[in-house]
Parts: sequence; structure tokens; C-alpha cells
Amino acid sequence: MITVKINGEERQMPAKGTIRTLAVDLGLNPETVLFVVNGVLQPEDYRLQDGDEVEVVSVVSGG
Amino acid sequence: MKCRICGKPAVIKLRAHNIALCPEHFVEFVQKQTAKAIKHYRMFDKDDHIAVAVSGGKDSLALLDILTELGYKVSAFYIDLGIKHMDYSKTSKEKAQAFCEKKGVKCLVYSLPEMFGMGIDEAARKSRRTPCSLCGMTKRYLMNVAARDLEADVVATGHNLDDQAAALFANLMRWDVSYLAKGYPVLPAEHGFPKKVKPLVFLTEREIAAYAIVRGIDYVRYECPHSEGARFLVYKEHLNAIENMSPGTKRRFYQGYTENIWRFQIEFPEQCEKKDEEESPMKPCKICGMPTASEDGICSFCRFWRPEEVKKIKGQE
Ligand SMILES: [Zn+2]
Ligand SMILES: [Zn+2]
Repeated sequence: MITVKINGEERQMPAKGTIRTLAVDLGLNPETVLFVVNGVLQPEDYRLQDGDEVEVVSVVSGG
Repeated sequence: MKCRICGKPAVIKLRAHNIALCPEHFVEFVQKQTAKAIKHYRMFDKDDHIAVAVSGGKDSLALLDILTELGYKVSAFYIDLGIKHMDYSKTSKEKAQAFCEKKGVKCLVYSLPEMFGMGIDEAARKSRRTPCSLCGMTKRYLMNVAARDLEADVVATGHNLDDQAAALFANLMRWDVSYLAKGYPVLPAEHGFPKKVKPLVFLTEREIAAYAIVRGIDYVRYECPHSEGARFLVYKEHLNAIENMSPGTKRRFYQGYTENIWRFQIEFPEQCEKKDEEESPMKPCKICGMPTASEDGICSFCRFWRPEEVKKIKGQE
């Protein structure tokens, strides 16, 4: 297991987990979010590392 | 994942286009898609002066960035609605102004509290109207004033593909044919009102948010507290569920509609055809001079906001 921080909260996840698996775990539609890891935008196959700080950015606005 | 163009590490995968791109080529992609929409829908050209409505949100700031990068002649305006909740208006104005300054773009601010001594909330409370209906009327009016003050040929707003597709979806669900006749991303200049365009209609919200992040654009991440959008969000959510299953659906849905819009327009020619000046029902408002069709000759903005003097309705640099 590795520990990552998601929007400031710590979360355990299996080693070799990707952003895609994280999105699924969080119940998010990948079309509606972006993942910024340690300040850098990353694509869905990015493999999360122990200690990564992830910001989940919702892209949907109410208009 | 590698960039399809240069092989460097990609920052985003675009399933609808079946490509992954690095920051440099993603920025190029977004700017090209915007240029394509501008050309496809004949929005404006390099000689035109474009007034961009900036709200401090991702869409309008990205639009301003893209248009200046593409070499268009651009000015901006910001409408300060005086919303105090979570400092919404204050923060969004600061971000809009800071970005305009960074880009070297002139920005006029039309501030309701400064012009009329109150913001949209207080005005709505006093008149028992919903903030959103009041806000819509007020913004439409000030957009026309801004275009006049900036001597702009066109007003551009940051509406994106998701906004347009969700509105289309909602109008189709109700078979609201009069609205279905009006969903084109270009509204021609008419009755003394400027042409209005939506250059981001080929781009999804996700692409625009990613562009803002990659370009380091500092935008307001939270929503207007009134956003009547709850229902609108449900339409977006459903469209995104379909998009996830079948990438490219939103674009085919909206672009196909713009190719078929004439089917709705033939039923509502009065809303779409350009009328001769003589048969125009519009007269200058007795108070502010902007065109109005109201019977007593006072526009809905002046009837509501009652500016004691026209001088009051002006933007500040
Ligand atoms: Zn590249
Ligand atoms: Zn008026």
C-alpha cells in the first residue's frame, strides 16, 4: 500500500495504482475531473507514488 | 502516455480525439480548435475589435488568453454584481483584472454597487425577483453598453461545448422550439446591438480547465452562490455519462444541431432574420438611449435600476 494526499486528506491505495483507478475508487466520471499531482497536470495512466499530493479539480460549472 | 506529436510525456488524454498531448502541443491544440470555430461559424476576423466578457472564471480568462495569443485585437470588460457571499465578486474581479493586466489588455469594470449603491442580492430582495433573472437582464444590458464604450465590433463570451450542449439538451427535452431556433454560437448585430459570439464551442469544459492549468491562469474555482444551475448541472452530468461511454458525443450532438438549426428557424423567422430598420420595433430608451422595444420607451434596465442620470452607467478602467 502507498499513502497519497487527496485534496489535503490522506488516503491509502494499492501500490502501482493509477489516476484512472483512483477516479474509479472515488466514483468520479473522468470526463468531469482533472488530476494535478504535486502541482503538475497528469494523464489518467499516471502511476501514483507514495507521498504524492493530488488535487482533484472539478471542471463542471453551473453556467 | 506520450505526446502524439513530439513523444514527450503527455499531460492529458483526449479520448474524443483519440490523442494524448504534452503541454506545448495541448496549448496549440486548444488554440487551433478555437481558431477553427471562429472560422467555421464566421465569428470575426483579424481587423475586428473584440470585447471579451470576463468573469474571473476559467472559460472567460482562457478565452482572453487564446484570442490574444492568436493575435486578435482584444479588450475586456467585467461586470461587478456586488455578490458578498464568500467574497465572490471581490475575488473574481481581482482575478479578472490581474489577468487582463498580465496580458496587457484594457479592462472596463461596470460595478453595480458603485453605480447604484447596491449589489444584485439586495436589489433582488427589494424587488422580490430571483437574483438570476435580474442578473441575466443586467448582464445582457451592460454587455451592450460595454461594446459601445469600447467601440468593439463583436462581444465574445466564454460559453463552452458543455454549456451549449446542456442548453440544447434541456431545450430538446421541453421541445422548446423558439429556443431551439436561437442556439447558434453567433448572434448577428441587430437593432443597434452588437454581434455576439461564443468562440469556445468546440472545446469541452475539461479541455478549457486543463488549458487554464497548463497556462498557469489563476481563475476563481468556486461558483456564483446563486447559480440557478442545479438543473443545468444534471443535464451536464447525463451528457458526461454518455460522453464517457462514447467519446465525441457532445461535439457531434451540438455541431450536428448547428447544421440543422434552420429546421427550427423556419418556424420562427422573426427571431432569426435581420429586419429592416424601418420595421424594427426598437426605439432609443428615453433614459439611457440604448435600443428598447418596450411600449413606454424605457428599457428594462432603466425601469429596474432607475439611474438618476445616464452618466452613471459607465465603466471604470
Ligand atoms: Zn508534444
Ligand atoms: Zn435605458
